[in-house]
Amino acid sequence: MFGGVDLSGAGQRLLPEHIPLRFFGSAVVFHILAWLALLVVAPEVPGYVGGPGPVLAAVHTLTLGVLLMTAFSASFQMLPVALGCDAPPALACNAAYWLLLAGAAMLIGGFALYDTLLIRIGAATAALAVAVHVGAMMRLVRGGGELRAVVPYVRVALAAMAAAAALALALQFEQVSELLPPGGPTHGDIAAAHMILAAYGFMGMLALGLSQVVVPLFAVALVPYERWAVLSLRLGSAALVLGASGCLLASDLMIAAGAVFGLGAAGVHVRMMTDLLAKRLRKRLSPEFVLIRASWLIMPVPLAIGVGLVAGVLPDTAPALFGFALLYGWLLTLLVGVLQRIMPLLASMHTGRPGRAPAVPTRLTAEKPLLVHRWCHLAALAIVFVGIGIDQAPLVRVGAGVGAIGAIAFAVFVVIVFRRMKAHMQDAAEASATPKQGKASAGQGKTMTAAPPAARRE
Amino acid sequence: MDVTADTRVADAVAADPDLIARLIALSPLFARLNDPEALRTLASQVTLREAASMAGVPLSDLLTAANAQSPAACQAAYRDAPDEERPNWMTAFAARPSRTLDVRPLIRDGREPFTTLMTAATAMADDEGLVVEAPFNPLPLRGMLGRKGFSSYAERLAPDHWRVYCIRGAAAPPVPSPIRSDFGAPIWREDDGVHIDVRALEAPAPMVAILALADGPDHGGRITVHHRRDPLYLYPELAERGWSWQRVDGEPREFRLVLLKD
Repeated sequence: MFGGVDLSGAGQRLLPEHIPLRFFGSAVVFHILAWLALLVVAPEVPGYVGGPGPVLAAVHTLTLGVLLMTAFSASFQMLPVALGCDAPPALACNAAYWLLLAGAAMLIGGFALYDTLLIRIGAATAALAVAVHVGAMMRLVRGGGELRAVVPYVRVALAAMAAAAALALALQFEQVSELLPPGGPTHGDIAAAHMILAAYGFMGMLALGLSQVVVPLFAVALVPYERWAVLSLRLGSAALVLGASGCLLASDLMIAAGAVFGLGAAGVHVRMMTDLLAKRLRKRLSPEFVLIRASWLIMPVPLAIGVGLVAGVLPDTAPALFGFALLYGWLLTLLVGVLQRIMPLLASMHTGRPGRAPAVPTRLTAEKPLLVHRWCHLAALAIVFVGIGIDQAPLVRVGAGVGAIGAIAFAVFVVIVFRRMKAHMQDAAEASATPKQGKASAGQGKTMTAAPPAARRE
Repeated sequence: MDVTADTRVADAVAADPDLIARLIALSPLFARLNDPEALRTLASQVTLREAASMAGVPLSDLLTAANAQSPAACQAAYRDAPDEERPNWMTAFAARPSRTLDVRPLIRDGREPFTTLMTAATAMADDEGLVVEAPFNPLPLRGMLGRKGFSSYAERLAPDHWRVYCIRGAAAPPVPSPIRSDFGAPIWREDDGVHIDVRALEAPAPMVAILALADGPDHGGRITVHHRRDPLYLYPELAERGWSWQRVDGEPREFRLVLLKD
């Protein structure tokens, strides 16, 4: 007997499978493009300090195409399941997807071609996607229910994203600059605040919050103490306010204080996660934890670089090092580590049907491409980081090439998961269409009373 | 919403959040409803009739508070629950060797006393008694003890102090043996196998508690799970471990699964 419960409907907590697949599939393609873009712009990377152009296009290939695309899907699909409530309407999810895809494409193209009009339309479209996402998530984060330690992180993330999107729009319209008082924040100050709110505020807070869902899920463990989660949230929120305000007010002291608070938040979070792993039920951790643990090691690096930048003790390549360590180092590493496990898990949930065995996640996954991706990714991080640090563009190019190979291997893994999922569903459909011989499945999606009657509870 | 004696407390509060303040005016015991956890767990299982008995408040007063717009109609429509009749076995209870268990500190700390009580009840010999000191009349727990062959009687000593006397029933079936849970989920054994109740736990604790039981030696190949909702993340883990599952009838607002080891 199996699955007397229809997992596909499941009280509307599971979105139709094509929705998360579309988000993840797009992110996988952008993942390859992000490394290839880095390879193309390698000569300009070590000395990059901001401004439109091919490097900014490469950055947004990663931030919008990979990080935001995945974050949307994760929050649309994983949070409702964890919270025990209905997923957002499919219409909202589809609208967010197409707006984000179009906005990302226009923004990336506009940055690469120095096309102001394209940049503005892309920014507005991407901001609309953010608005749709935030609106769709509001019902989930009203609170009073499950995951009391996690929902506040999501609230902070959504607020930060809204602020980052507003700042991004402000960057594109000179009329806003004219409204700013003399001596007020410059274009560069606003861009820096936008980056902090988008990367640390939205992605960072979402990562810290959802880690308290996925890491216990993967390791089969409990989050040790809710007060640690609260402490990490408070330190992280203080870091955000100080960091973003410091950028807008051009206050090095506030920026440095923000980085220090951020280091505190990171320390508490990593301690919480390692304590959780120490008390886990699953004895042998799956390979995705190589990347997840690597992301924990990398997490304080950009913050430390930030402190060094403010102190003026680092070389000219430090801004590029900061951006690379933050985006490719911490966020991308954590994300691909989590996706390795989440994709087979979600695929398994979508294969469940009344009376049919769902696909076992480990049988959907493909270890060899993941092995290639894992080591290519880590090698790429190291090579590019060193290449930027010593201002050697050829090394950056080599590292980006290795990263692209790893990203292609990851794409192969995703295709294999999808094909195995489809094959399982096809086999199950054929089996139910054929007259059954042998073991029959009890409770074909219907609720039945427990047997035997003598043991039935009153 | 038309609130009756059989309306669950959580439903009545959901329809009228101001009801909590009116209930507290009747008895300070209802201040527990300000705790979202208690509202979600205990209050969702208890009717107004049971709540009145637990708090020692006339049912008509409770219904008057609940249906603030029609107090006269409530008083005419419902009768108060009769006082509990003192059973005959209480006359000889004082002669029994007995153990006293005070669960008021546990409840004050927000902890569930279920496992402690079941352990104490299981350990009772046929000629022994158990005295439980509680802040209210624990009707749901007494109901469960009754289904396991225990007899109980409760007397109210003060507005927030009840004393419950328990003995084994004359024709009690074999007492189920509780199994210790390290994750806060009550686990016990009935004729049809091991049961685990994770309704009071917050994610991911239900999944962790169920998998800990499934991975351990105590399940005997069959586990009945009492959950609040459909545990979607659990199914892939069960499939990995060679378990199958089936939804079965349960109590209102309960999602009950039977897990079988393949």
